[in-house]
Amino acid sequence: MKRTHLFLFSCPLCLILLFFSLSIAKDSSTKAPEEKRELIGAATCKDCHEKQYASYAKSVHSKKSVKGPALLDACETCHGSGTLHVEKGGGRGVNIFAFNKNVDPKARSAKCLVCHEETRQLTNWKMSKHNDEDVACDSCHSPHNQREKFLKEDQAALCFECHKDIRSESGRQSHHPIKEGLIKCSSCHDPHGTFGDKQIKADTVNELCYKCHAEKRGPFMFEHPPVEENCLNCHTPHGSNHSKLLISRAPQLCQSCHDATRHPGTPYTSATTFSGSAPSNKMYARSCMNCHSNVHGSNASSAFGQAFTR
Amino acid sequence: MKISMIIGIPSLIILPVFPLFAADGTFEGEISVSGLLSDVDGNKAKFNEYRHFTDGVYSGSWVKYDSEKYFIKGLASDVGYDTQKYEVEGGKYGSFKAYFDFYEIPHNLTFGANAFYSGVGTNNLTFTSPIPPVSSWKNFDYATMRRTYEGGFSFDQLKPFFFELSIPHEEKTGSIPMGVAAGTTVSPGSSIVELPQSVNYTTNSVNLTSGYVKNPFFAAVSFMYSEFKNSDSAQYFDRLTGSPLGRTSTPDAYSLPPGNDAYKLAFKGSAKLPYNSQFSMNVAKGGAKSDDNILLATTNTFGPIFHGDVDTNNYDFVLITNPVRFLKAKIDYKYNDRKNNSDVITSSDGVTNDLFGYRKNKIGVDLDWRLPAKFNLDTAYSNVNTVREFRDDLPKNNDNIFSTELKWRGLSFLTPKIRYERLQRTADHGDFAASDVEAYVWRYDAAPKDQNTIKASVDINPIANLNFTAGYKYVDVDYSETILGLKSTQSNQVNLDAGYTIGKIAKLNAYFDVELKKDYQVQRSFVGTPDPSSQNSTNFNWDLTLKDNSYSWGGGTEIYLLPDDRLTLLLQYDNINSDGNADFAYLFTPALTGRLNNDNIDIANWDDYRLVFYSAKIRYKPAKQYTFIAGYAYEQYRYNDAQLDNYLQIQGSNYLSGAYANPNYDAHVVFVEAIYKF
Repeated sequence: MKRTHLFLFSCPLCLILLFFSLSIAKDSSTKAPEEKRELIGAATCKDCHEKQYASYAKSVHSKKSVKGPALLDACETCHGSGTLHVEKGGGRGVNIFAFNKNVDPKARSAKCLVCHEETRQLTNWKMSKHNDEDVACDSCHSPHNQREKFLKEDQAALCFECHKDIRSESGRQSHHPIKEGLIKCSSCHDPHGTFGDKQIKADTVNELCYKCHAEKRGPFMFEHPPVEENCLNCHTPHGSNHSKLLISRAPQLCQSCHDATRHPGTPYTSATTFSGSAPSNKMYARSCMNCHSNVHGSNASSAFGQAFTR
Repeated sequence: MKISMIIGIPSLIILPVFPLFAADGTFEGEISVSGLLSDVDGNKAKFNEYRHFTDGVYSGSWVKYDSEKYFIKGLASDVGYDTQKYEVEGGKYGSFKAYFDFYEIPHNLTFGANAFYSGVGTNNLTFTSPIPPVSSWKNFDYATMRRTYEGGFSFDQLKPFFFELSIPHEEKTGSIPMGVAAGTTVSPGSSIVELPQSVNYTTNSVNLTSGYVKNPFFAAVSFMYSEFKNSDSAQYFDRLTGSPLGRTSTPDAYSLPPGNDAYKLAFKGSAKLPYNSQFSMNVAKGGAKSDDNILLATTNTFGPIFHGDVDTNNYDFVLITNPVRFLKAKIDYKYNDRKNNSDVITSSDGVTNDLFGYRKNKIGVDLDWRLPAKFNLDTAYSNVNTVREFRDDLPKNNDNIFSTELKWRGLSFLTPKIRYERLQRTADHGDFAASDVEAYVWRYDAAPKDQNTIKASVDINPIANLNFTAGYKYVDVDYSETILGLKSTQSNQVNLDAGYTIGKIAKLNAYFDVELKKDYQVQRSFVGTPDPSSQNSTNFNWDLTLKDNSYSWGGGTEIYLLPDDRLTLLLQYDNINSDGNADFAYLFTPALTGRLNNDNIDIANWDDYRLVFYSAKIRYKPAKQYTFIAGYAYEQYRYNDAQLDNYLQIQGSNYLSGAYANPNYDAHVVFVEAIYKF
């Protein structure tokens, strides 16, 4: 029934959108192709843009052994012909292709893709979330920058400019060492697109986590099914207020799945802490993990292994 | 081993490359020397959780030789410290590249923990009865160190064909806390002991990729092999039993992660099609095997070999088409499975292991419309179907996910965006008798739910040197069928950020983040009937509202005291807070005994902490080649939590080693740095 509703909702919506879109298509099809103009050469650009030229000359883009601007039209490979720009006396964005927010991001990326379309790291760019969200190549890279991969900033700072929720999480008391610079966003994510969700560099979350945490890979005799299906059932990757990057605290995290007679169903309240009237070893210190340390799997036989206590 | 690898492998990479260098290249680099003085009052492990700040001299450098055809570069940082890192890379532009990296990642958990056992750091912990007083216990640190050596090579000389190889080798050593119940039965219940578990892991991997990339095709085959070795199959320790607890002659044992081998063979390909379309695919087959003797937990000897064997398959097919400027459409299909072919073993107590596996099928459609007046509308629908084996409680899920996002780019200085996503999950629930608690428990990882997510953000740049961004995220999850377990989750998150540049005088930035999260769960404490519809003083329901609120704010400034970045003052302030709260309610109040009532059983300090950070540094660049930095930083961490407050190492007949206890610290750090560029 719900699917029928969805279908009934989607069809008219698509028709309306198609109607609007066709009207735009008519407009866009009338645009004239860009006129081919004469080139002024890099030496002329250098006269005014000395700093930019110097950075270009130091970069891989200036190497004639690499397919790129040096073998094409140098500065004008990316910025287009400078003839009119020079004739008008220069100025920011005056009759020149400038990489700034006023220019369509797809058009900016298209300039880079002229050469980089066959770069193997960019083969998934078309299905990248960043491409969908109009993040252009120059949103993160500047060929006039001296940093690794032409990044505009250190990687974490750059990613956090847009992903502010992740910035906030990565500062929490339990976190992967991103802010310490020991791992990078790109250790797990490929900003240029992957087949995985959230642009992770693996087909599944667990496959990604096992790259560093191979001891969790098992296969164990006794497995904890939610653990084997998705590490994110219990952990959050960027940062948490709870130890071990957990999404919630033990014992409540464990109890939300394990209710039974004896301790799984017992309410561990303030009365069961060190300071409470009835301290319990199921509550204080490491709570459930005081006994069930092997929650990721066990190779011990019998009920000990099944309960992850050995 | 370490030194020889650090020197040997880079040499093997560099030496063949050097003769290729012509004299026309440029050589540049940087050398830095820093001095650091620190005064840490309190928990040094938490302060240095992923760092190694100690009094001393730090050095770092990078060098690069670059010519028209060849390059070689090297980097070293934190030389001699626990966070040291070395990288060497060289090659010929457009032809080949080789690299070698070595780096360390420390993870310090607790310094100065103690236990009455000897043999910390090994897999055999022993003690002599009677258990001595805490003052006689032996000190040790809970910490691990990860050392990674990685070499690699990529070859592009035969374009459009390419080849890549990387060989990482990782060692992880140290001690982590583990807990065991004392006694000999599976549910001793009365006493626990916290012990240091030895960590002696080694992982060797090989990654190979070879392929072809030339418009309109891309095709690549990759192979990954990873071998994980654990030097110890079990952690042995002298068993505690009796009253008072004492050592028994039979040692106890705890199973440690088994060694395993994993592989993955994958093909990735894409082809550009007419009408600005692209078809991409990813087909992968992988698996993991472990062959380790099982630990016979009743006798603490090793039993037969358990052959762990898990196969995984993954297929992705994606068609993207952008035939007209106003529409981009994506259709994708993903299949992923986990087949468990491991041994099934029945233990002497009649317990048999299950072979958990699953299959997931996902199909999705995404339409991205460019509308008039620079509106963008993205609508997407996907369906995920999950079938699990040996999950009798929730063997099947069906997820319908609908999302829509509207973005407006009508003004260059203002970009608002709003997104709504709805996830409807249905599930098959196992057929359990009313006398079985499983009839009422719906586990949140697969329970039916209605999940609504709203995200909104706006970027404002009214003038070139001022930017302001605001983001809001609301998530509401209603586990609609759940009777016992997590019933709902809500979170509200706001992120504000502003930056302002005052000409060539100063740069300012500030941020404020808040997340208010609330979980609600209902549980049942019972000895008889699990049916929540009836209650008495020994069979009753209780609920819990958990609040987990996070706040962080801060700001920084760069003040240019002299032009051209010659003298700059940099100030930074950060304040990160968490406020947790657990509100319990017995839904049958006569079950509360003694002086307890629903108002005095709550927990007000549930992972509460505050981290305050200040830093001030001044940077002086008298010439292009030289930079001098001097600064001071202060960091304070205060943690307050009901599970660790008034921590006792001996509580009744329970013995704790102090893991994670009292992580508070105050740290003052003074540093100077000199950098020379050439």
